[in-house]
Amino acid sequence: MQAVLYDGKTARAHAVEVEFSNAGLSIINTAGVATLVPLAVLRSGDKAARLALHRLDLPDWRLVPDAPPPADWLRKISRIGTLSRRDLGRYTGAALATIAVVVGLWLFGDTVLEATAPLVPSRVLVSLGDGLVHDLGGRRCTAPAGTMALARLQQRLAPGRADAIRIIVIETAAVNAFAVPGSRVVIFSGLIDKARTPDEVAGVLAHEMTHVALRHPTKALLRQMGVSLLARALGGDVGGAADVAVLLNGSRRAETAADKGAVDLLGKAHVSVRGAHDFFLRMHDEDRRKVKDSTRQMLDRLGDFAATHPGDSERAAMVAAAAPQGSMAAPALSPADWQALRSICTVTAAN
Amino acid sequence: MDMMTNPASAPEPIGFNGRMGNFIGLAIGNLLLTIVTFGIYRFWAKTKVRRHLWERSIFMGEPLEYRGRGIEKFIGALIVFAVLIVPLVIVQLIMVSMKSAGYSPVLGGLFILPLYFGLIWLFGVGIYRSQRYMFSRTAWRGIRGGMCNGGWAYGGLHLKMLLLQVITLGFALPYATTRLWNARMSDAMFGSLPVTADAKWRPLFRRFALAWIAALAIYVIVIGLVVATFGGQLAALKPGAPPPADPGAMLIAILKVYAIFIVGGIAIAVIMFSYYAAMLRELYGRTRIGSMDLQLAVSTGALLRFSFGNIAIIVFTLGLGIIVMPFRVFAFYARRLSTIGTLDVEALLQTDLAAPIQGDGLADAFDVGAF
Repeated sequence: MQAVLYDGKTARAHAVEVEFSNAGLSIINTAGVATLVPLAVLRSGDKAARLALHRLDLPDWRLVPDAPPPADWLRKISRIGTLSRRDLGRYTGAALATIAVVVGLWLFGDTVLEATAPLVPSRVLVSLGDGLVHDLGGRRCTAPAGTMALARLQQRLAPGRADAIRIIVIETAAVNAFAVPGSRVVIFSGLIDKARTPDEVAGVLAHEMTHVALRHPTKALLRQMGVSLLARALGGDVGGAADVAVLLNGSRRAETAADKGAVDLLGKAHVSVRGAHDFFLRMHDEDRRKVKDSTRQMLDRLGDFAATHPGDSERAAMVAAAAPQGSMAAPALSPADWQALRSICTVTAAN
Repeated sequence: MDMMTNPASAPEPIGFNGRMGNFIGLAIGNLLLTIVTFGIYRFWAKTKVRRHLWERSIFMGEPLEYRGRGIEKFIGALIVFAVLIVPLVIVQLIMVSMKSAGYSPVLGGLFILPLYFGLIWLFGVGIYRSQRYMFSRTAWRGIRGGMCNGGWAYGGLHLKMLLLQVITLGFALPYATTRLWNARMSDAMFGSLPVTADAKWRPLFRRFALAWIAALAIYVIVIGLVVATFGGQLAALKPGAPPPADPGAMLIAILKVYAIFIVGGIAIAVIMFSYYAAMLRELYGRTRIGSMDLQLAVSTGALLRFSFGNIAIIVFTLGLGIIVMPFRVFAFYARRLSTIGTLDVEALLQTDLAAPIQGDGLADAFDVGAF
């Protein structure tokens, strides 16, 4: 059979005669000299138009027969790219290891974070947390009476451990509070303005203090710097999306845990859970005020599914269910302290 | 190097016999596998796409061959993660900490500015290396391509050209484009034959300047037309103005304004596309492999149809159509590319350039390249 040979040394097309035998491939050049290529080094490769033969020992060598070789001869050689048994074993091992790591992180990632979070030196966390708080900009509210009131509330919620957490009030209209690495809790003054009773502020503070106690900010940081980056680097957009899905799930679990912890702290401090309940309900109503009732439930559910926090109505229900309205409940702050806290932003300092 | 090409030699098109119908199956399979592997399959997917497209591109009766492997690109991405992304994140964390420690923002700026310049420089290196990887994995008649350098100098040129564009307010674009193309292409080899490119920026600049002036004129005309015709009605849209007496007429006026803006936008697009088409013709037309010249026959109309077609496909498939874009882009170029003159196949020897071992992870990290 006629064939074209490219020897991989020049681009010249050598016209040759080929014979397919059990020993291999005989190539007879124009001078009539035959060379035998053993079957073991031959591989079949496909090109869109026609078949080309490859040699394992000469990667640039190609032979294109004018017609496909006999099917029973072709069956004797492997296709190019076919893995040797050893390589196949290696790849299978690598694939299984990857799957094991992914599944392991999925199932036990939280346990791993739980174990590693206490290992991060607090000096690192404090400087990171301070940097993040600094990045918020704005001014810190530092009126002495308000600061004292906040310290008393903190002492009441976590007796004896109050100095472990630093609470920072930032002057801004946004209604928000969060925990940052380094045992810092940030409260926006907008939240204090929005609260109707000190119990409502106490509920939010207890929630954030539980985040700190459970090391949630440190765990989130470790997760973000480890798994999320790797997922994005190797998996691209799809990997990133998968990571976000896992992240949202973990975040909602962390929030539920913080809610439970807050109920516990409030109970021990004899502060009514009613405040937290009312606050969440009111925030929920404000969020949804513009939404028509007919679409409200569906949007609610979609929102809950994609949210970092449990839905506000879900949270309020949980808090209400857990609320033992003890007769011993007393307001979280005295009227004077509540007044002081509400005017904590009368004195501010650069953040 | 002045070449004597046979004046009678007509452009000979590169054959491309790919079909969208065949490609879609491959693209859907790739998409599904990418999803179930949390995205890790994308390296192998890209390799399969390239192999598919290369095999269907035929030059002098012989198809191109793509020899890259998915694992090479995967390892490339792992290396970039270890040597670039992880250190960057650590630097970022250090910078956040530094702020709280009371270091001045000036000091932070001194720290971050070289970092940004370094990243732009690395971006250029990534473009170069991506081309080096692709050329080294492309073969024809058993002869491979390659690039002469590692791309570090090209990264520097990339940074310089970007700064030049910043200080010239973007008017250095034709100069920067041609200079970068010439640098990148003149480093390439096909077997023993050098690739040379000497695209000129001056003829392009005239078109570029004209396109800018025309676009500006259209912009002024559109704004003028809108203000002159609908100015009175639109004044009623100001906050605090009384509600319009006739909401129906108001709506029609707003729709008319939108229509004028869309027509103006299309006119500006057409003018800009005339520059891009001229640029592509210049870049490819001034590139030669050995003694063989290239020619890219791309008209403004073709480029417009191609781009609007791409947008339409993506919009009407709700974004899913993006998976056929590699085919569209490759086919657009391959079907318009011709060669002039001949390639001396007797003198075309195998390259002695070393091929990179891993894939272009750096370029992947910056997300460059259509296919």
